[in-house]
Amino acid sequence: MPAILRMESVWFQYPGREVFHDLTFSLEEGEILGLIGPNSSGKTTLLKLMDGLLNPQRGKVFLGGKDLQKLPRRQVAREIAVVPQEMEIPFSFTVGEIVLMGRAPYMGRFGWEKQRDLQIAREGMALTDIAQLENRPFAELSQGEKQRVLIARALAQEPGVMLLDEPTSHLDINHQVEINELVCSLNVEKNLTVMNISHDLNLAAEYSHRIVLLSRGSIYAMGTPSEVITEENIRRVYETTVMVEKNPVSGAPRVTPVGKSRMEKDGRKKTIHLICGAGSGVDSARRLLLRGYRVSLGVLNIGDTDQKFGKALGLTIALEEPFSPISERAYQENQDLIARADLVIVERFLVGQGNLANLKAASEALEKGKRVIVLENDGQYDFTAGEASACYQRLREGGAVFIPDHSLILKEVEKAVGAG
Amino acid sequence: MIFLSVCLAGVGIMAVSLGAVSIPLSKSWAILFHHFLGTGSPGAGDVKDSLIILDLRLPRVIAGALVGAALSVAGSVLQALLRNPLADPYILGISSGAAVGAVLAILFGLGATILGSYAVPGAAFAGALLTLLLVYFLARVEGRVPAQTMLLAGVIISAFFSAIIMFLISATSDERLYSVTFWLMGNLEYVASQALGIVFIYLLLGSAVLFSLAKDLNLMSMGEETASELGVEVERVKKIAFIFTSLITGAVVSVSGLIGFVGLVVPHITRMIWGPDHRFLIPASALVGAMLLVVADTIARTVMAPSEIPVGVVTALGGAPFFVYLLRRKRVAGNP
Repeated sequence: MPAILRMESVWFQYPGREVFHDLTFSLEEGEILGLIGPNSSGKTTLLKLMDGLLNPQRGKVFLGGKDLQKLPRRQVAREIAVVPQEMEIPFSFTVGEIVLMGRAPYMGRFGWEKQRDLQIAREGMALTDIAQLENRPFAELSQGEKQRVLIARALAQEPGVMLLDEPTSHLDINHQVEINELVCSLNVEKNLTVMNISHDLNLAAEYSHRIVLLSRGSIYAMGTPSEVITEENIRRVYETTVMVEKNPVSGAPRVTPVGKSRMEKDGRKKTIHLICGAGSGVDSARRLLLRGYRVSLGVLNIGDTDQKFGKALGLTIALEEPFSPISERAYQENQDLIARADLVIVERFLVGQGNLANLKAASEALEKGKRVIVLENDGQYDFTAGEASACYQRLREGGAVFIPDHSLILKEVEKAVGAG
Repeated sequence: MIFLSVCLAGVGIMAVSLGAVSIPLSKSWAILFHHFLGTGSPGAGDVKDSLIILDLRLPRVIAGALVGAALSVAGSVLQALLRNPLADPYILGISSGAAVGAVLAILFGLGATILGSYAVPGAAFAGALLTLLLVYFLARVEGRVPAQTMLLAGVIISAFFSAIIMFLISATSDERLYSVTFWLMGNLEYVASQALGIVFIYLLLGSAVLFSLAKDLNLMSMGEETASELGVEVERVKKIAFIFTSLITGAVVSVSGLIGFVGLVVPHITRMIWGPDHRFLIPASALVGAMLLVVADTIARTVMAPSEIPVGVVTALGGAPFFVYLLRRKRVAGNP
């Protein structure tokens, strides 16, 4: 693919602060490029250099092979549209007037907009779902509505390249998806080239063909979303711990921050052991950790949702090989964790021959005098021809506390063992 | 726009009729018609009324209209350029330069020299031009004139020149002090009708150039970056707008002194009624400003007739409360 915008050995500094030091980079025709990076890594500055709003001190920016600095702004405005993060205006222009301003690069010095200009502006408003706002003053809109107006204005420019600076940061999830899909469809239908600055790594991963990760004014990584968005890269550049997995719906990398406050710290008195699996333990574990309890898990297969979650948080887990039934060794490990815990919670999960041993472990704990809380399991959970149901019966008879749902969990835990 | 022009003509005819000597509307109408179109009869051959209207009041009404129009055009352009609804034609210091020129001319009695009635306006305009250059070069940073530095340079120059004027006033003790004070308060009493032609040319030329920037000014009011993204050569537009607002401001201040509030309030009134599109705002402001100042000057001439109050006092007395009303009505700051 040919480069539509190319930066060659660009050096740029604000007075007293160097931003780019010999940066070479190109935006290729027809691609959707996601530009990510922490605060003050130079994303917005890069965007302004690419639109010619800032001039590099050394090096050049080329638009379709021509030196951007030498082109008249009118011509640049027909090629490149910028969607800024936000815009404040001192006067009460209406939404319609603002969107029509996108036609400015095509209009003469005097005169009013023609029918065709009005039609293009209306199309832009329809696509961004703001047709009903046409006569409202821009200043009175919500942030999300303003962002959509700015996108409509950019569309009215009929550009070949659109540079967006966090265009969906103020939008609700519905409009976030809508705008991103609009950009994708314009990319397909009109071969619009897009560069999109984003703080939302997941959205960037979802909609970009290519991702550039910027760190302190230089390109740290560049490539497909799954090449760039890795636990290692994010940890290095953003200095925070995350978990990266594949989005089960789209296959794009999905980033989940692992907040430092959720990491296990020393000094907790009470330990709660969760018998769980397939994500059933996440809800309780989060609440317990936030309330200051220590949490252990088991037995979990490697690759299980609960296992990944527990691993990311650094919890102690009794592990079993992927997709394998619980072995004697894992069972024993689990028993050791139970022995060290003050309380056992049996989460609500489907029971088959593979994990039946977990229920048995709970019964055994109860017999040894551990306090056990059980989440009422109903519906079709028993895939063991009655053995699981029998286990539950034994737990009930043995004096375990049964609760209907998670809303009561903290209360019951505190009743049983006191605060964390 | 046609409606506004008709209104302005109507206000003009009313204004020439009113004054220390009241002349019936129908008579004023007849005199004007006779004079300009050569039709009809001036009526009963009343030479005195004809003289009052054509030689005394008409030049003054025209002066009022020109000054009002120029200040309003300059005000609306500067408000967009600086993205500041509080900007007025005097904010960039041009007026204070003109004032220094005028005050010097009055104090040194240049009016008595060969320059005659051109002395004070001439000196004022020279002061305005010098200030324009001074502010421009002060505000320039690496070939650009950022709006913020322009504003700061204007405010600083204003303050400095005001100090010079204060000094000159404090060093003066005779009747010339009265002339200086009267000039500073702004009035249309001494506008030489010969100067009107020159002012008119400046106004016409300046307004035409500024009007040609109307679309760019719409974009500039959304911010310089946005304007640039939408194809405006921002620095060029700023320079042209700065020079031409300064020229027309300098030209009218030279003949009328410092008439305040017109250039601040008129753009707001016009925007409230017809919206902020400069393609309409600039001509409409000119007409509304012309009307407003003619009305204000008529009040200045008549309320204490036969003596007069400076029209600058009338515009400030009327304009300040009106502005407060605007601010209170639109609580949202900066969004009138």
